[in-house]
Amino acid sequence: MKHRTFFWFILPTALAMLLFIALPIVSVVTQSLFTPHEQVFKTVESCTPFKCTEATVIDTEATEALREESPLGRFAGLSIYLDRGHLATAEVAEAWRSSDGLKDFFNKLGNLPFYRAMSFTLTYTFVVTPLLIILGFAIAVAVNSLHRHLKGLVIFFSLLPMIVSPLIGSLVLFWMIDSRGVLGTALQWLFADPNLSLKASTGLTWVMLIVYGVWHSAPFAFVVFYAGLQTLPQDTLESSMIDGATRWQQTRYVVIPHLMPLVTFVALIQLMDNFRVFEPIVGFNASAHATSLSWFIFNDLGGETRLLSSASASSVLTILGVAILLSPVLIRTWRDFNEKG
Amino acid sequence: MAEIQLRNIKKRWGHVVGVDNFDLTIADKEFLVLLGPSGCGKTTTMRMIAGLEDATDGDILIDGVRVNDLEPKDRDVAMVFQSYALYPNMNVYENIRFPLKVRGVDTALHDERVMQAAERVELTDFLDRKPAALSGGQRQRVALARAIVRKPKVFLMDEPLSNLDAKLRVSTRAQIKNLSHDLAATTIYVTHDQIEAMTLADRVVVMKKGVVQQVGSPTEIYDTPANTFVASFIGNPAMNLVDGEMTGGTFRAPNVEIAGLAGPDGRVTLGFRAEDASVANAGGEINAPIYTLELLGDATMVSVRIGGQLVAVKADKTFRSEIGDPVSIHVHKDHCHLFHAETGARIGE
Repeated sequence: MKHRTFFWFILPTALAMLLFIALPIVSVVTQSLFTPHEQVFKTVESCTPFKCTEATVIDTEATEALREESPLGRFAGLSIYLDRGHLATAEVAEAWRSSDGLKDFFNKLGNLPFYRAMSFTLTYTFVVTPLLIILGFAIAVAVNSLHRHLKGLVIFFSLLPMIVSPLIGSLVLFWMIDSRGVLGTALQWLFADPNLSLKASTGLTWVMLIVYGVWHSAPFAFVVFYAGLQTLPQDTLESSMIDGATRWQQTRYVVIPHLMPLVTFVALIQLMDNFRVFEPIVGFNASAHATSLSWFIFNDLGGETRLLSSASASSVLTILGVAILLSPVLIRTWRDFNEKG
Repeated sequence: MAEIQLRNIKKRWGHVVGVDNFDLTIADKEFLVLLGPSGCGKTTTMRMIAGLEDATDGDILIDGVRVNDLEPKDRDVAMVFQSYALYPNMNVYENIRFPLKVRGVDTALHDERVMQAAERVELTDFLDRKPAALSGGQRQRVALARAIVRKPKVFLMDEPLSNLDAKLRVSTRAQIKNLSHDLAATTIYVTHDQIEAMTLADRVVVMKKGVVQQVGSPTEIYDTPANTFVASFIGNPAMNLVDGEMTGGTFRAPNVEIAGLAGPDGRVTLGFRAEDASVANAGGEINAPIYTLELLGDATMVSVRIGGQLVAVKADKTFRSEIGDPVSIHVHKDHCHLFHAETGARIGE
């Protein structure tokens, strides 16, 4: 393709990417380096017939003028990134100095909001992603071996968790695991503990959120793998049967290698998706036990005072996190591309 | 040692008949070719022997043991597929080794046996390559090596040469023939190419619409076809078939008169091969204008139209004439075959 033709061909996409991806990122990064102006105070003298007193009040006009002069706020550099609400470098250094061993250090780190959110986000991402891939694959293989008359029905039910909106789905499960709900009561009966409450325990809340995450995302993996299974070369599979492979060996040596590009695809999508886990935390009302980076941003923006700069810094850190997560795959893809070139 | 008995095996999908009453015993070390056009049931028959399809009815016995209910892996057969069916993620060495690995053969023996198989098919220089980096011929040789590496009782080959170009097909065919001779194992080979059937087979089974038409050696099939289908399927060009009338031992059709034939009076189909007829100056049994002339290099193919059918005759390579010129063709009565006009079955011996 000629350079000129290529330019016109790519222009609409490039413009859209510039408008909807690059500019917002630039805007967020810029905002994260500024902090709102402090209010301008002035001393006013108010006199009564008997005496005059001085009072300090907000100079609204001067504050407005300052805000209009530089709407981004005042330049704060990396201070927002390093404050207690984010990377908390001073607190981390202090924790490192005063800790008796790694366990104590990590306990102290867990008390810092950003690291608490990060630990849940990473745990959720790295537990949910492989589990949903395994479960999605297992369902796809099982559905694929069903009689064709049953397939449609089973596919429909398998897709239900994905059809339900995440917030609604998590709310439904939230009421089910409530101590008065079906699952909550069943668990109390099973463990013979009438006081057992999933919501009261941090560990059990994490488990609950992870189970929800797998339940909600496995259908996506299932659909992708099921589609991949339809392209499985029958000759190769039959050849492995004749060669002597058991069903497990057929899966291991023929099916899984055939689906590997799709596994990479699902892993990439789900890593990104799970890293920004948010809805279940809101739906399960679980923010006391588990917070995520996305919830962090939501919390900054949702309060009485909107902490734009703090939210921007959290967003930039989330973007960096996603970039670090995806970097191994991106590097590999780049290397493959160069090798082919 | 592996004798295969197919006892009245049938394959049906609802009302569709894939294979109907296939009854045959394949001797130990025999090279049997299943030959027929697409959809004739040859591949289905092979797949039933392999265990990839269940027979609707009938018994399949290998060495006297009924194998209908055995899994493919338990039948001790190896199969070569038309599409090679290699494992794309494994290199050549691992592909050949795969049957040994999954069958739990002692790992100490793997290397020696893989190398033996690779040497047999001249693949030792390509052991590190993935299938994607091989040519079609090399891929099919990998498939062959994978089949021979574990020394199975029976080899099944499903149109293994169909995806190769003409030149490669000839050399790989020779390789298969040589391999089968060396290994002396029972081999069932499926093809729609009658040249492959003629060159490779000890016996050929010609099939049509799931029904066996004829079983015999390549010579028998070629020289005494059981019906018009076999006659028209075997040989290049196919046997000339002319519809006509028999009266008192003389066959008559437009521009044709052949006397001295042994057959009943009435409507029949007469057949003869192109190489069994010759172009004469005059006085031949067939006299008609030339429809087309084709130079083949070693011969000239002269065709005339008899009724609605084309009749081809191999003339000397120096024969030259013009389309539309009258030609006289001599067909000796001993080279003529007679078939029933309606059923197409052979009349006589």
